[in-house]
Amino acid sequence: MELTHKTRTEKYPELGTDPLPIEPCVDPDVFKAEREAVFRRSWLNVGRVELVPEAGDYFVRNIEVCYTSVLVVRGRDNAIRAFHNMCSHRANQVVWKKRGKCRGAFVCPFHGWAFDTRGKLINMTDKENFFTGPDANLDMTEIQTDVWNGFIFIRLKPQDDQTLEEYLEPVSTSLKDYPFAELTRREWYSIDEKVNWKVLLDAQLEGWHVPFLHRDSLARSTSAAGMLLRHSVLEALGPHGLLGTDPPPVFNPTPVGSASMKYGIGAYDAFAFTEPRRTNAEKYHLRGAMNLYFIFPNVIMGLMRDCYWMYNVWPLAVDRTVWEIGVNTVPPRNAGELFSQEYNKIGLRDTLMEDSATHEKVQQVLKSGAKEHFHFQDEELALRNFHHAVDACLAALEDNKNGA
Amino acid sequence: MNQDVLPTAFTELEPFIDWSLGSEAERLEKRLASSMEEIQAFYTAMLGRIEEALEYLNGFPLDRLPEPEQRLLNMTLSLAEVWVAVELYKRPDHPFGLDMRRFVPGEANSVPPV
Repeated sequence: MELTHKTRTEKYPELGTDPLPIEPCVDPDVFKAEREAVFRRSWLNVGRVELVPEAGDYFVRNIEVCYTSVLVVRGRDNAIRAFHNMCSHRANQVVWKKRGKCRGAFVCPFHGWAFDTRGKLINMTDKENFFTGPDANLDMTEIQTDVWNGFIFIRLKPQDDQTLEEYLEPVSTSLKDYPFAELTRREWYSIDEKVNWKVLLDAQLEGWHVPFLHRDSLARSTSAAGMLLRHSVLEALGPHGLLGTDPPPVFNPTPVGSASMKYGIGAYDAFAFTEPRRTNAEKYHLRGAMNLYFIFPNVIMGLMRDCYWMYNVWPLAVDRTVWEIGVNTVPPRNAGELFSQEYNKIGLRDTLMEDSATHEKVQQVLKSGAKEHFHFQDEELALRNFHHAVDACLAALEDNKNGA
Repeated sequence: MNQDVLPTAFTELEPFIDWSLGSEAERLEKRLASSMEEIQAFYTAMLGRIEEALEYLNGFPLDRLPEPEQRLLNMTLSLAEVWVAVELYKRPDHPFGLDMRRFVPGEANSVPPV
């Protein structure tokens, strides 16, 4: 691997090269502004189409960062819609189950108001006894929803006519042939951490920590010049980003790894290989062995052969975040494939625990006042671009308030 | 009614039957509660038969395994839990003293709680 220096960031002069302030990762007022400027106004991934395969199928997610519960349902017309899960009567959550099939109507458990799968109020219990006039809109409040490549996204407060596909460009074009639809077995973890959401994402947006932090685990599956890693690809893509790692020149699987590799490769040793085993990935070319796409503001997709990780990062407070980790593979056909997937998933879990350690170690001292800045090097371009994109959202909200 | 603990060809693994656990959470608990000597003994025994065990189990549909075969499968999954301890960390838990139980596993293809 050639050890280049300062060749990445100069391609994006608008990002500058200055250190970045720590303050936005500890200031509750900044977090309050981010709820509005970033989370309510950006497209947010809430699940995949496999969760709602048939008409009437629904699921519910609490999106605490936007102060709401969201009901996602596939209608009789096959369209997927999302609604605030909130009764028009006295604001009770209409649907209490996490997932199910709606046969007929969603009936509010409180007083029996009923809504169809398009959110329309079809039964207003004791209607004649209400003072509310016939002109009042008593349907459930719909949320803008769109689907890209099987991923369901919502946007709570649209500011423009931008479609999801446009929002995701150029990521959407790059990934149009990745076999997401074949990798339908989704195992997942969630971990509730005392960390700012940006600090958590920063730890995933660069790979040069791998030879250091993951020296006992994942380092063996990547390529570095000594301890210094250079990404196989590193690009800012609007507010989104792309980074990748190269496979090592020589990779010797461990004894259990060898047994696993007879049946597939997954989220662990996949770092070391570029050839697909089970999916039709001929049209999608990895740039390196692992490509990690950041989709602003809170999604990371780690793409490899025959599996991808999907991180959805959900802030709860300025210093508290839930990290949801999906491990997506083909449904196992036999014991060997199941074993291989488990081997890879456990390797990933323990490696991510190493990342997780840094999250809380960092956050715990951020408010000390000892340091005012983070220093980002050239291989940390994706972090710099991410913080820049958050700042742009906050600035746009300010301009909007000031009537600019 | 099949009274075997493990399939006949794998009875030598019966001393390690307490590693036959049906969930990831249980397998992690077992790993963290075991000494490195205990883990190493299970690892060595299981690794010695893993390829044959998987080839044998591949002959059964995954969702309808007889009980002895299910127990053997669970033991292979315990090998998939302890490999990190033996091959990477050389200790049952994490070298940084981290609690892996904080990664709460969800049911496959279910909706996360957030």
